[in-house]
This record gives sequence, structure tokens and C-alpha cells, in this order.
Amino acid sequence: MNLMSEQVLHSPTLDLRFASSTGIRKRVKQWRLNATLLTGVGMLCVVVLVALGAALLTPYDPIAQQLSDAFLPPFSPAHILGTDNFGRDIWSRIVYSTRLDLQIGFFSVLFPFIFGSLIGVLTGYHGGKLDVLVMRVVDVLMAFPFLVLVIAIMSILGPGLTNLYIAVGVVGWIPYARIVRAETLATRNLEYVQAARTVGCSTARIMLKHVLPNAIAPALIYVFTGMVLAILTGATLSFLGLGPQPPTPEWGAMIAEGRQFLLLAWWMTTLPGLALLVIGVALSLVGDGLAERR
Amino acid sequence: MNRFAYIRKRLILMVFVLFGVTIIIFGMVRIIPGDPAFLILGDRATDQNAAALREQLGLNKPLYEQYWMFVSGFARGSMGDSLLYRQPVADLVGKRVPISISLAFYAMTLAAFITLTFGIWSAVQQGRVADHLIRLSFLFILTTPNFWFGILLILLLALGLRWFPVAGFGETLQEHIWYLFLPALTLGLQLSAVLIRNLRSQIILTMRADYVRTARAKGLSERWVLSRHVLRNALMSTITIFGLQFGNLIGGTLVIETVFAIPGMGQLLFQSITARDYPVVQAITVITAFLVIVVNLFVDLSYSFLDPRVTYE
Amino acid sequence: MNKKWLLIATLLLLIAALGACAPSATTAPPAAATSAPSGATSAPVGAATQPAAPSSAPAATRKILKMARNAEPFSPFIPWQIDDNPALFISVNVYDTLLRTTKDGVSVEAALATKWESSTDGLTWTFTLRDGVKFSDGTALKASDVKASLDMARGGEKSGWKDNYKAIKEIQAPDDKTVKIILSQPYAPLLSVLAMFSGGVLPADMAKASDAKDFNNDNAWKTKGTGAYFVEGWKKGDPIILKRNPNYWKGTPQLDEVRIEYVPDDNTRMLKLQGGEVDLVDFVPFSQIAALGAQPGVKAQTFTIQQTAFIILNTEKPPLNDVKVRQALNYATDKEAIIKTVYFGQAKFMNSPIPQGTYWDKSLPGYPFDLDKAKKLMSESAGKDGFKMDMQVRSGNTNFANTAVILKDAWAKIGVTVDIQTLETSVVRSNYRAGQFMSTPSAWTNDMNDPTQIVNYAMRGGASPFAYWTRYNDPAVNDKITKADLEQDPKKREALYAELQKTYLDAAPLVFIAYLGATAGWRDYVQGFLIDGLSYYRFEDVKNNK
Repeated sequence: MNLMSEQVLHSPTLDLRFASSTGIRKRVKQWRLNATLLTGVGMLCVVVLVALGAALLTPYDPIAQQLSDAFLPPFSPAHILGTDNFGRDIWSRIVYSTRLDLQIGFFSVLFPFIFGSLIGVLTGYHGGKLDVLVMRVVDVLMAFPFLVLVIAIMSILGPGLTNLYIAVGVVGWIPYARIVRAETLATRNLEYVQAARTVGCSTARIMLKHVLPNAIAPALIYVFTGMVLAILTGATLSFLGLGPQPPTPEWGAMIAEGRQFLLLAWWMTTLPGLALLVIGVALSLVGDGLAERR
Repeated sequence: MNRFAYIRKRLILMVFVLFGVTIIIFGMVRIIPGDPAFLILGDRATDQNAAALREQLGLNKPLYEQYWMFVSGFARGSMGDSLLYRQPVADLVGKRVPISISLAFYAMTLAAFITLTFGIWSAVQQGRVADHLIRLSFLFILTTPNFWFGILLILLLALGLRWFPVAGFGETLQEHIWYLFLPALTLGLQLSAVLIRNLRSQIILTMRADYVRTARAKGLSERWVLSRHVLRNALMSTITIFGLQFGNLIGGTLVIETVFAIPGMGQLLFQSITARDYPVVQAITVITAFLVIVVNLFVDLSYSFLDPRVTYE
Repeated sequence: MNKKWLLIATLLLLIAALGACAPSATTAPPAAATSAPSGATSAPVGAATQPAAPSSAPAATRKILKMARNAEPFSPFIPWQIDDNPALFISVNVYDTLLRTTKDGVSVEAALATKWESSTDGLTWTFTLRDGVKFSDGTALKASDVKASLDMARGGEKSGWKDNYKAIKEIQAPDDKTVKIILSQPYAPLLSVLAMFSGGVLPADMAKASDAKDFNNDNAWKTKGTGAYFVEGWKKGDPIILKRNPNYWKGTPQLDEVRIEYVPDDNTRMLKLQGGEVDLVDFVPFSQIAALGAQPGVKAQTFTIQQTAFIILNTEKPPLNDVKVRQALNYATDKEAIIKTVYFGQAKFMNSPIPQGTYWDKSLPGYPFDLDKAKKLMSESAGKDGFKMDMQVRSGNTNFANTAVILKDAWAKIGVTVDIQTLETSVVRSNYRAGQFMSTPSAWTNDMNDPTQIVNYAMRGGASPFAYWTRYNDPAVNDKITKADLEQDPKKREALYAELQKTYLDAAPLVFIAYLGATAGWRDYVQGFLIDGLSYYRFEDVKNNK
């Protein structure tokens, strides 16, 4: 252990331990009564349904151009949310994007989450040279301007969704690794872990079965902020050409495309932003709900 | 281990980390496809023009020689010449580093005020209207692209109310503070949006802890409990995130610097990467890395002030 | 808790203080109006060579024009070393050439030279310099300065424009007023080439010094030219300040100072003009011309310049090697739709491969939108079963991106699947140089009024730049290009260029789209601003009547 302070990172660590020691029954009770969580999950379900039923909900093809109908404002007779510079229906584009954006949010967090958590538990449990080495790698990566990494990856691998995941993932695992590592440091000397060790459980088993499940809770909560940030990062990066290529409907790309017409057609940037807000509210309600559960 | 020994150890480690940064950045910018000569010469350049320019810029030298020039130059305090501007990197970067750092600190100061005010307010009012309003507003700020938010602030506060200038940097210190307010506010609000979520949930969690209950049971006033017992603990992880965001603020202010026409490092970094201006990219990366490491060292040191139980091993 | 309230109070005070100081500063941008460094500006016309010390005139009468530009120069202000437009626009305001392209961009007129004549064989040209021309520091212009500068432009180690001066064998300065240019072969575009910005005249010692390997570019940003303005020095990130040249040969300019700020964001630049923080902006987005011009006190305009927008096709990649496929793509492109949607009506149908300058053939038909013809050509071509084609778009260029989106939709109708790839400019350039592309949007602006530059660049195959990187290569065309350069008779040259335009149009190595304009917006008290046919603007006649 090189620095006690790392335990403090992102951690209601102490409280988590208090909470878990006060028993599981209480937790189940809270789980049932948690309105925040339920609302969040409910909203997410609606969003997922919208994503699945996109074709039923949209009157237009999201990439069909009607150049004579460009820049119609919201609440136009034929276009409820108006049209963009190519006369494409914005409602249809937003609805069709939902599936892709959920996918972006999910995948750009999933792999960093898994990788980061495993690294975190490994370094936290073992400590020693491995820990020092990994933490220095983290230092180097953290100190790197994100823009340089992203442009490098994009130029080498070319544009595309997979490369967006890679670009976000290269540094995306770090918060999870640090959170889980801190939790592991706090957990590894608790009685039940020591008990497992005495019984003769293998190290891998202890880490995965006993330490990780307890250490992962705060990381899970961060996941939900991470998903919103990933979609927004996509918006910032799509002007560099990373991510889905035009004319694919995607919120981040729509926001970026609308930028050139910000003073002419505010709705082109604002409406996809509001869609993102809905997902943001849903995900943060889930996150807060999970936090309250403890 | 006492604090000084700890600082010394961290500083020694910093040298190794910076060394790692130089190797990675040097390798990376050269793996990226794209030739600086083509960018400088534009579309009309013939292959002969480009070859002549590459020779002039020293891009034909072997890689190890280029790396040695980079690292040894840095050690001597010289950062070489920009390929694009053909003038010393130090001249280009020297003015921009302070601008970006000031903008970052300005934004962080505003963010600290905003986060403390609304984070505490939101936590204290947990579940009530004020709490929901604050959380929704900051979620809105979080999900709003910052160029959009910047233009919105310009329209409202600069063109509408005429309180602030539209964009620019000004010439005197007073003007700098005045000109940089809107960009700093844009950055600060977005930073707070990340921090408030954290601070609020930390406060709520801490308020449930046994020792807080004990403090309350002792009959201490709510205000005393909040400021002496809860806030100190709740702030620790918020400060960590705060420190981690510093790197983003310094290197990643590209969009805001563009919107508000501030001649900072973000803009220069972006231009230099797209132009494959290797020496400038390398210099900015190493400087940013250094700043990030130093700021995070301070963040780590601040824990022991907030929580005397924290020791440095 | 008290601390918290203290913090909030401080914050509020801070905002209030900032807000309070705002109005005063809006009306009087401090340093700019009153304490501009070194008052070298308002020396009386033709007076001492020494710029007078602090300006005796009251601050209020100093005329300053504030401009916001979309880009910052990166080249030194040495005319023949300039590679970027922002530096070029500074250069034409501080350095003069022997001749100058007229404002409409189609012919040349006198500048530093007032008289010129050629020998009967067309190989020796004699130029007589204008009387009384002085550099901004007061020293007189001599023929040796012209010789030194042109020698650097055509042979200097760092010159990027040597190719244009290839026909020149020798330059002589027999006396202070006469410059003789001796050619190795007759060269019709000579006068146009001498009017190019790259032949700007510096004092001989400065011209020679600039080519040294260890020349410090800081010195290049301290200009010493015969132009209407001069720059005392500049550092990237600072505004560029053009100061009036009291010795200017066309008469003292109206403005004491032009202050050029760098404001890269299009929206912000327009808002700065609307808010009155600047008097003039360039690169008004085409979408905002109408709205900006409708603002009270603001004018916005599109100027005709010699610029074209098109798609480069790689004629070596099947099925693009089939001329019918390329023609089909041209016919399937609805230019009017692109002009309306991408350029908001601020562009014109492109009927010929070259811009609307000298020898432009306005009778050519171009490729009017005709879907049936396109389908018919496709069905007879190597691409009849449809094909997939990449279109590499430079990131950050919204006009190119928008064009690509429209073409993807339009070309799908003739069975072509366009795969849009947004890449960084440097990557796109490396790719098209290496021939690793099928199509990419691009644009061209003439640097001289004669078509030789564009024709040599875009039509001559076989060597870099491979006919604008299309790999189009027709030996008959190559010969004709050489012939047109040598031909002395304007009528015959015109005929040759007409044939070249026709042949190239029919071969369709490009998808021809539109002639573009250059845009600018200004406060209505600014008078005399104009972007000329080669997209330059000079501040010599601009007034600020505020």
C-alpha cells in the first residue's frame, strides 16, 4: 500500500462497511421501497421500448432528404420537432438514434468497467510491485491530453464506432480501477475475507467471490454518469470525424452538425440535447437509487 | 513516513512518469499518419516541394536522433522549433501556458463556489423541491454541449444584458478577469455538474454514519455538525475528482477557447496535432503532464489536512 | 457555515463588480483607443523619414479599424515563403509587386512599375519604376531591391513559388529606376506572374537575409515594405496590428491602424460584429449572410472571386477509369440543390473546369442535372451493376461534409453507394497523394489572373500533382498546356485554353459543382471595403466613419 489516500478516492468506503455490517435484511427492505430507483428503471424501460419500436413511432425515414423543407421550426404541421438543413425530420432522427446511443453509452462503459474492476481488485488485493507498476501507468495515462490520444487512435485505426469505444476505453477504465482498488484495500482485511483465506479458498476465488462483489458497488454507481459522459464525448469528437459517419442519425453527431446553424436553427442542437437529458435523468435516478439503497 | 519523505518519493516517481510520457508521446505522434510538410504547403504542393521542406525541417533524420534532440533539449530547457511556425516552441507555448492555467483555476474557483453552495443546499433539502430543481438544472448543464452553453451565455449576458464582452482576452489584468469570466463560468458550471452529484451523495451518506448520529445526540447544532463533521469527510472524494479534472481543464479547453477566442493551450494543441507539429505537441503534452502530476500531489496532500487519520506510507 | 455564506457573498460581489465595470469598458476599450504603443502613425504626409514620437492629434481622431478573422497566419510575412491565406492577406497590404492584378481579377495594372515593354522576340522585358516610392522606414525603393526580391522568389532556398518563375533566366538592375527581366523562352503569363503576391518587394538586405537557414522569423513579422501599412512585430496569439505607412505612394491611407483579431468560431465572430466589438469580419457563414445583413447597422455581402468547388475522382480506380461513369456522376449531381442547401444561394453553377477569370469560356454547358442521362450513361458503363465508393471528407469543413451528405443521397439513385469517411485534413492529403482514395471534395482559388496556374495544376498529368491528384493523363492535353504558355498572341492563347477547358470537361476527372464567393460583414460606418477577384482585401481605401 503506497498511499492511504487512495482509499479515500470516490469512497464512502467507511459507510459502505457500516452499511453492509448492519445486515442484509435492511437492504432488501430499502430496495423494495426505493422510489428513485423504480422511477429511473421505469424511464429507462420506456427509452428502451422507444429504441426497439423506432420504426413504429416515426413518420419519416431518418436519412431521407427533402431539401425544399429545410429548417422548418418545431411544431410545424408535418414535422412535430421541425427539420434540419437537409429537410430531414428531427423527431425521426432522434428516435432512430436512441438505439445507437444506448449502444454507445453501454459499450463505451462496459469494457472499461470490466477491465478497470478486474485491474482494481487485482492491484488492490495483491499490492506490491504490480500495484506500483499499474498505478504509474495510470499516472502516465492520466497526465496525457485526451485529445492527443483520441486523434492518434482515430488516425491510426480510421473512423468508426469500434474506434470510438477504443478511444474512450483507453482512459475510461481508470476511474473504475481506482474506485475498485480503493474498495478492495478496505475490504481485504475484513473478517469474512480472512475467514475465507483460513478455510483455504484460492486467491482467485477470494478475489472474485468475496472481495469483488463488495467492492464493486460504488463503481457501478459511477457507471451511470459514465454513460452520459460517453455520449457527450461522442458529440465533442464527432467534429473530428470519430464515431458514426454522416448521415447516420446519432445525438452527438446531430448536436455537432447543428453547431454551424446555432444562430439560424437552435432546435437542431437543442432537441438532441434534450433527448440526452432524458437518458441522463433516467440513468442518474438509477445511480442515485442504487446509492440510497445502501 | 513523514510528509517530506513522501513528497520526495513522489517527486522521484514523477521523473519516471514524465520519462514515460516523453516516450509514448514521441512514438505516438510519429505513428499517426499524415505529413507535416503537406499541411504546411497546402493542396498545391508538389512532391518535390514537400521533400525539400521535410529536409529543411529535419524530418529526414533518424528517429533516435530526433528523440534524443527532444529529450536532451527539454532537459536543457529548450523545446526546439515549431515546424509550422518555424519559431521557438518556448515562444509559442510560453504565453499560452499561463493563460490556460489561469482559465483553469478561474473555472475551478467558480466551480468550487457553485459546488459548495448548491451541493450542500441540495443535500440538506434532500427530497424536497429545491433538491430536485438543483439536480435537474445541473443535469441539464451536464448534458448540454459546452459550445451551446457558451453561446447561450454570450447571447444572454454579453449581447442581451451587455455585462460582459462577447469574446476575446483583453489586454490588462482587469480586462483579462472580465473577459475570461464567461468562459470560466461555462467550464465551471459543467465541472460543478459532475462534482455536485458526488458531493450531495457523499453528504447524505456521511450524515447517516454513526459518528454523525453521535454528534447529533450530543446536542450539537445542525450547522456545527454539518460543517465540522459531515463536510470534512464528504469533501475528500469530491476533491479527488476535482484534482482529476484539472488535466481535462488544461488540455481539454479546446472548444471553450475556440468559442471565446482565447489564445490558450487547448487551441494551440489542437492546431498542432492536426498540423502534425511534433515539437509543439510534445512540449504541451509534457507541460500538461507535469502540471497534472503536481496538482494531484497537492490533492493527495490535502487529505491529511481534511482527515488527520490519513497517513502517508 | 459562516464560511460558506462568506464564499457566496464573495462570489456575488465578484459578479456584481464584473458586471459593473462592463458598460464603461464597452464604450472605451482601454488600451486600444488611448495608449496604443509607439505613436508612429500620424506623421504628416511626405514629411521626415523619422516617424514622429507620440501622436500629437487627440486620441479621438485616431481612426482604428477592428477586424475579426477566422484564421491566424503561420507563414512568415516574406511574400515568397507564404503558404497560407491569412499571411497572404497581410502580405498584400504591406508589400507591393511590380504590377498588380486589377480589382475584378482579370487583368494587370501598374504598381511599383509604371511602364513596361518587351523586345520584339519577347525575351527581354524592361520595367521602369515609379518615382518617389519609399519603404515604410523612409528609405527609397531601388531597382536592386526588386531584383533581390524576385531572385529570392524564383531561386531562394525557402521559396514555395519557384515553379511560377521558371521561364526567367536573369534579372538585371542597370540603374536605380530600371529592372530588366530576361527569359529563356517566351512566356505569355509573365505579367500575371509578376502581379502575384509572391513577388512582393522587400529591401534587398532583408530579402537576402530571409533565406538564411538561421533566419529568425521574428524579423519577418517586422515588415518593411512599400505597401499602405506596415507591421511592427507580431507574436502568435496577439492581434496583428497594421500601422499606416506615412510614405505610401498612393497617398496616406485613411486608417491609422487596422487591428486584426483571431476569432475562429463562426458564431462568435458574427456575435462580435453584432455587439459592435469589431467593425469588420470575414468568412461569414453562407447560412448567415441574409440574417446578418438584416441586422441594424450591419452590412454583409458575398464578393465574386475566382474560386471553384468540386469533387476529385481517382481516375485510376475502377470503375472510375471509365469516362462514362465519371460523366454519369456529374449528371446525377444536382448543382442547384447544393448551391441552395450548402451555399445558401451564394454560389453559381460551374460550367467550365476553370474559375471565372481570364480566358474562362462562358459558353461551355457544364453538366446540368439530368438523372435520366446519368442512368443511361451508367447502364452503358463499367459501373452498370452499381458500385461502392469512398468519399474522404476533411474534418471541420462543414461545406464539404454537407456536400458529401447530399451526394450520398443523390448518387444512390444511379446505383452508387457512397461511404463517407471523415478524416483529418493531413490524412486526406496523404491519402490522395498516394492514390488511396476514390473521391474527395475540394476547392481551388486562383492566385493570379492568368489560367496557366490552374491549368498546369489541374490538367497536366504524368507527374506530381498528377492533374489535381486525379491521375488523369492525356499527352495531347499536356502538349497543349505547354503550347499555351509559349504562345504570345492573346487570341490564339484564348483558343487553346477554350479547347483545354472543353476536353477536360468532357473527360470529367472532377465532379464540377460551383463557383464560390467570398463573404464579409461590416458595420455600416465602414466604407470602401472590398474583396477582389483573387480574394484579397486591401485596406488602402477603407474608411471608418464612426
